[in-house]
Formats: sequence, C-alpha cells, structure tokens
Amino acid sequence: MNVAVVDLGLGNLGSVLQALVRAGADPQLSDDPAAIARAPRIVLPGVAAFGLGMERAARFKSALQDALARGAPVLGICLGMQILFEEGEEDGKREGLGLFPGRVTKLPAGVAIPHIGWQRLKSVSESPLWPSGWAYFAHSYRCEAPAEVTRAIVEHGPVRIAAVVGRGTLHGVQYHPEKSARDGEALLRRFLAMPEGRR
Amino acid sequence: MLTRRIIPCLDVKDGRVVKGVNFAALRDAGDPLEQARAYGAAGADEVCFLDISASLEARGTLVQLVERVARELAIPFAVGGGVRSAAEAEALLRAGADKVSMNTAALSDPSLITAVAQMAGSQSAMVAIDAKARGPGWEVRSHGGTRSTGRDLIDWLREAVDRGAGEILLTSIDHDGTRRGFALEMLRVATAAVPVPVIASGGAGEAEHFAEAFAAGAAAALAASVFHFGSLSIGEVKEQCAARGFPMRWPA
Repeated sequence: MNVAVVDLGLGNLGSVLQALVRAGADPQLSDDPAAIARAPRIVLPGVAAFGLGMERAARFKSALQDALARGAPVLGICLGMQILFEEGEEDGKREGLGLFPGRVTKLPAGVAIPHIGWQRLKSVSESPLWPSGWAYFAHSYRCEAPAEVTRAIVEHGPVRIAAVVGRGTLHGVQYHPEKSARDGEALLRRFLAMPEGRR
Repeated sequence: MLTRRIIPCLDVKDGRVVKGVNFAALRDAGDPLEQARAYGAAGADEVCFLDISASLEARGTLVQLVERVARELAIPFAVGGGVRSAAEAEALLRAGADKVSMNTAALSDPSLITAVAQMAGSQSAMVAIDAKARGPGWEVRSHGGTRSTGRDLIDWLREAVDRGAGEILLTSIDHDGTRRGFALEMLRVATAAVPVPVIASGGAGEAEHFAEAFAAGAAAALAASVFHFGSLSIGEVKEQCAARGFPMRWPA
C-alpha cells in the first residue's frame, strides 16, 4: 500500500481507486483513523454533499492533522477538497475540517449551475502537482480560497473557480482527475511521486 | 470557458451493445466497455449508456456493467433507460455511474429527482425529456416517446430543475432519426428557460448540426447512429465546431 483512500462510505470510490491503480499506485480503502494517521499518502474522495461529507469526515480530522504533521501528501478530490475548508453553506451552515482558510459557497446566479464539463486549467502559482491540461468538473459549490493557497483556476463566465489549491503537503482539486483522461492521470502520477510522510 | 461536449450514446441490451461503432481494432464490438473506451480514445467528452433491456434480470447485468465501466473508463459516463426508483438509481451511482438519467419514472413520481439529487448531488441527477412539437410549443412524451403526457415542455423543464435536476437531456421526437439537424427552436427556448446545462439530442446528421445546436444554447450534443455507422468522427465534429468558434476539448 502506498496510498490510503479515506472511505467516507459514499461517492465514486471505485473510480478513484481504479484511477490510482491505472496511475501505478497500490491504494487501500480505509475507514480506520489510526491507519490513515500512519499512511504514506492519503486521498480524500468526494461524496454527495457538504453536510453529509462532514458527518462522515469529522472523525478523521485529527488523523489527517497527524499525517500532515509527518509530511504525508494529502489530496482532496471535489467534495473531498471542499470539506478541507472552514465552512460550507450547502444544507445550511456547516463547519468544515478547517485545514484551508475560506468558505465554500454556491456558485452565483447568472452562470450555468451546476458547472459541468471540461476546461483547461490555468496555473496561477507554483504547485508540485503541476496542474495543467484538461480537467472535468461537476459541481455547484466553489471554494472561496485565498490567493496564497490557490494554485490553478478556471473561469466560468465571470466567476473564478479555484481548481487546485495547496499548502505544504496538503492539496485539493475541485475537478475529477479520475475522470479527466490523460491529464487527470498525469496529475495523480505526480501526487503519487511526492515523497511519503515520515514514519 | 467550459468547452462544449460531444456525447456518443450506446444502446445496451442485456449487457451488450445493440448498435455500436465499427472500430476495426475492437476485439469484441458488442462489449459496451470496449465501445466506450474506443469513443474515449477518439475524443468523446463523455459517454451515455441507454439500457433498452426489458427484464428485471437484465437490470442486475446493468449494475455489473456499470461497475466494470467505472473501473476502466477515464472519462465521465451517464446511465439511463428504465430507471424506476431511487433504489435503482442508487445502485447505479454506487456502482460508479457519474450520472443517472431519469425519464418516465420522474414524470410519474417527480420526487425521484429530489431523492437522487440529495443522495448524489444535482450534478448526478440527469432528467431525460422526450418532446414533440404541438400547436404553440412542445409536449412531453413518456414511455420512450410513445405516450402523450399532456405536459408542456417548458413547464416540466422548470419543475425538474426546481426538484434538483442538474442536467437535462432533451430529445426531439420529431427530429430523432431524421439526420436533418437538431430541433433548434426548441433548444433556444429550453436553454433560455433553465440555468442547468441542456444536452441536445435527436437529428444529428452532419458536423455542422452540432455547431448549430451549440449556437442555439446547448451545452452538449448527443448522437448515436452518425457515430456508430462511421458517417462522422468525433474529431471531425470537434474541428468543425472549433472552426465555428465554439471551445472544444480538442486535441483531447
């Protein structure tokens, strides 16, 4: 096992696991906080909605903090990225894991919602994930991420969407690399090539 | 800016493709996964599986197929055709479908849309609508377009979106199979009525038709036979649409 996938019991776990296998990994699904705290790398996949996601994810908060303290790379995907933030407004105000600063809010009226489809990522600051190329999005909420953690964006009409965020070894992608053909697989490979956390 | 999507549709019966593309490299042209992969390699942005099996046993086969496709396909896919209940939709989503498309069952019980949207998010709750021109406007038809519902298209569109539909697959019964182009007036009115993406379906015959659908407001366009019988390639369609100024994921 070189990457643990947090089992939140919902969402497209199979696709994420299999995309990691295609990218050369040996992933293991885990719902054990102790195992996640010790894992070499961690992926937090997306689930249905912020409230439900947080209900399932809250018990992994200290495990994720321990893993980050050891320098283990962590990647949140779609809702798995959103719950890394401080607060979400889907299903009423809900507290997030608070590992990134900022709130998760509904895309403003006037643009197509949900934001569904492919866009080319625009890199705005350096990231070891080197986000580039085509990305497949499917979401109605966005992370209002401050500039200092925003690594790549896309523009949906006049709305700027944080597509990739990162700070230290903590990373999040709003899109679905597991559904983003070659460029998605390349990003997963770069995540998997990051040094493991200390034991 | 979002690129406009090209979506080939595969008809599946008892776990096998009924109409499929004749890619020479395919070992098993009846295998939905091989077909979907070939379309992915050819530049499809997404694939739609339409299950036309009648029996209940075949629904189990469909879930197994979805599991296989989810493991192997690196682009998104939707599954539809005869989804009758929230439990069935859930089984397909759990098996790894990115989207479940609901049609007749949503008309008879619209709360199905809300149940799926709450379970998986609006982006996974697709409502398929078959519509036919009548007097002024269009009428929604059910049961594969065979039964009249009396419902006005725009009225049903708005209700479906209010109930949580995140995407609409809109098929023109009048244009379907004619290859004379998509139903542009219907697309213009429908896309102006709701904020969610609308996928145009029914009538594709030439590459130019896709560009016309995008000009009418469609976020994506779906076709089956023009791709299956090789009269058009996805690359050809994308090049033509890009030349007309629509952003496309090309080269993919």
